[in-house]
Amino acid sequence: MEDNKYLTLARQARADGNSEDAKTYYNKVREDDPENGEAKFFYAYFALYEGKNGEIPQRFGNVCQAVFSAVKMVKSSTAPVAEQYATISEIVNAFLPMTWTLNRYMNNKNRETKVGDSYVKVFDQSSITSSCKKGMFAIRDLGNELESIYGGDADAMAIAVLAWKEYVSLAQKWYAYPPKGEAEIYAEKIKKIEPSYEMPKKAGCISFSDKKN
Amino acid sequence: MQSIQADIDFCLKEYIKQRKLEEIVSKRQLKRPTTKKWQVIFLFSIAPLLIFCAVLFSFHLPIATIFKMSVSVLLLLFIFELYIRFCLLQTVKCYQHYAKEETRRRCMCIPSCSEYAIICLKKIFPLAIALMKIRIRLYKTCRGEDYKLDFPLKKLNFEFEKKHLN
Repeated sequence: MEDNKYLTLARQARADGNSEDAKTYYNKVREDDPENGEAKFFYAYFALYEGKNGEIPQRFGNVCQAVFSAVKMVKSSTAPVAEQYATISEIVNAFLPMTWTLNRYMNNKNRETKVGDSYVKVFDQSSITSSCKKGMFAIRDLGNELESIYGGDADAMAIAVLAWKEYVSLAQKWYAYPPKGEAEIYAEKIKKIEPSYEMPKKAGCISFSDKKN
Repeated sequence: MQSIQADIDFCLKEYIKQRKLEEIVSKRQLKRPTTKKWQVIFLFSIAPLLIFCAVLFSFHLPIATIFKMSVSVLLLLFIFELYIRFCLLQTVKCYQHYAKEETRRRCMCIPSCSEYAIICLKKIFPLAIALMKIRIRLYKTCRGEDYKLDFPLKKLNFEFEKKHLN
């Protein structure tokens, strides 16, 4: 992954929170080097902010797809391993909060405007649900992908654990979506690498969460 | 674009807060007080006797009936505000002693619902308001998918936020 000036500018814009510039520069990096994983992911990431609200589920789907190819591109690049891990770590850290954040954003939008007794629906429930599922499973698969492509290397596993932790956390919150017992399987996997890990429990002191599973 | 980004950034801040709260909740040490079942049963079984004695005492005072009634009401209030409050406090501690780890770890709030009840019973007066707050906590606040920071007193909320979330 050779350093070019656009990549430096893109990283600078990202650090400054300037998504428009970051997207433009990452696009230029993509044009120069189509095999740049960082540019591929962050271009899709910043494109999420563009356009109308109705396009967000589709764009989020693109980000979920881009993250896998981005990780593979970084792995097959000529960059030193430490640099590869740093890039993958940045990609993963940017991707992990997206599912929860987008879900919150969509739900907030749906509760923003009230006409009469009902709220104006910006996003329909099915698109919110499908985005949640898509994001959740992409996070799980990202962890698995890292485990498989780096063959259980300690640094890669540390990043994979971050993804699995996020998956377990989301699976416990949205317990209707993941296959039954999967969160426990991943919690066990995490515990093997990080013995102090405590799996978050299902919601509420007086809740009916147990009955649904 | 700016508006969507600003809204998503706002949600991202919430996400970071949620992660911090989740970590605190998952790793918190659960207190196990030594209160036994028989102690709670004993405390509650004395309550009717205390109420009876208070009424009997006030009606044997050499004063007018209206004053007798007033003294009786005052004594009953005193018993409820102190003795019954103490009994309820011991009940919560008994729950903390016996409840399974799994059950207690389901609480998504800081402090946990039982700790919240203890703080309410120690610091919120009158008892009726404390009980109402506990009910709201159990049936409304401790639901849903979010981790919540909810102390019965705003001051405690502020102190916790300052210490752990900033």
